[in-house]
Amino acid sequence: MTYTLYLDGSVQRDADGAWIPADAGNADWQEYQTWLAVPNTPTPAVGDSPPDPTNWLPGMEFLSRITDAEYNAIMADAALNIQMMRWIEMLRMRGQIDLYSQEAIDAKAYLTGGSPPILTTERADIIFADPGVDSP
Amino acid sequence: MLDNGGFEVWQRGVALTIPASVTAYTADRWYITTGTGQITTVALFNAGLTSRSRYQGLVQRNPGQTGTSTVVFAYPLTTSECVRLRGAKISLSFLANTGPDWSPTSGTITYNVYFGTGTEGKRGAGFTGETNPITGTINLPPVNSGSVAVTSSGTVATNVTQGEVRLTWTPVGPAGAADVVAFDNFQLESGLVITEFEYAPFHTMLALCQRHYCKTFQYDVPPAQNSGSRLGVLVSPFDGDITTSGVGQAWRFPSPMRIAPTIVTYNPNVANANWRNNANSGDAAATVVTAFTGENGAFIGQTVAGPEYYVIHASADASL
Repeated sequence: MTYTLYLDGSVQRDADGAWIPADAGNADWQEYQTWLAVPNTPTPAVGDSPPDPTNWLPGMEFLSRITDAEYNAIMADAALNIQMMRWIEMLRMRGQIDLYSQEAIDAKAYLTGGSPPILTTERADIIFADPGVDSP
Repeated sequence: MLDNGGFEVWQRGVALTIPASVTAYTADRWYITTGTGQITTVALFNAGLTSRSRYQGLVQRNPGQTGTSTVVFAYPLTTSECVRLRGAKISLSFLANTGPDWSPTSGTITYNVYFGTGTEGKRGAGFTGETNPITGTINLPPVNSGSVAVTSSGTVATNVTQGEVRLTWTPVGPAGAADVVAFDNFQLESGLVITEFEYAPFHTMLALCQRHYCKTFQYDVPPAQNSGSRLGVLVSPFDGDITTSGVGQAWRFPSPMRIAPTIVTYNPNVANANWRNNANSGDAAATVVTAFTGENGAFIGQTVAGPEYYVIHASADASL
């Protein structure tokens, strides 16, 4: 038996994909606690919680966080970088961004990882920040 | 007071193969613990042990299985059920019937009613501050039927919060073709007067059981991936507006559940847990949205992959 831990505290039982809430009265949660106490360690979430509509930021809001200079820099880079162009097109098509998706994490890492970086880490943290508002 | 004491409700399926060395629920509210070499079938039998009972529950060590450790077949009580018995003398009654290859020595079945003062749940190796107001055995040779109707000599403690009605038996030798026992009409009641079994309407009993377990599948379809059944599926109406956010579907449980349940999703047409494209041409990942999931309902989210309707089944398990 193995489990994957989500950032919100719930876990997934890997054998059948069951989502188990962090509820002390839930028998599967109790079984997980027993498994933890052995001790065992759950697989950490890969930088994200499960894809969650409440983590989605509307594309317009995302763009409004970017200054004109930053937008120009991103688009100039995208003209030479098919991966970045593809990501921007996908963002346009969806009209939203899942801030905890691997795709968003990769994009943020790319934008801050160059030399010089397209975005500073501080700016990227602001642009990719969770709005803290559920928008189902 | 036992929900499904008559083995009428089988939401998980009416013929369940239980692997060796596991603890698993079978008929609603009833679980079994098997040992090594004890693959077991727990199934509905389409006739009761009385003329007024529609079904009975069969427990069969599968033919050729050699495990001889003690089998546990039990019904854990919620705290609410325990509270209703506090301070009272209690009575237990049930019917049993054995098959031609029933193997325990003397055909012995042991029954117990346990209580404790800890958190509600299965008894495991024992409850906190355990008390045992009813204990006894019934000897049923092969192809015999019998009944148990017993009362406690003492009263149930006034502070009990956990309890279990537990049957145990110990198979002998390799299982024959019908190493089987059947049960029906379990009733646990307060007081020393053993009343006639209450044949409750099916839907009444189903609703009580759904506080512990429910599913989107039709009643007679066991929860499974690739079931081929779309009757009752959750539908994510992703209609082509791919800017729509919050794709997925809310599932309101038929009855408020005991606690926040464990959710399992099932693709109706492929062996995975994803949403299935209604055109049967692809999948989209499914996730349970924690913020919207509790005792009353769940929200099954969908990673955008449209445009199309997507369908999925799910089960919710709040069992003890």
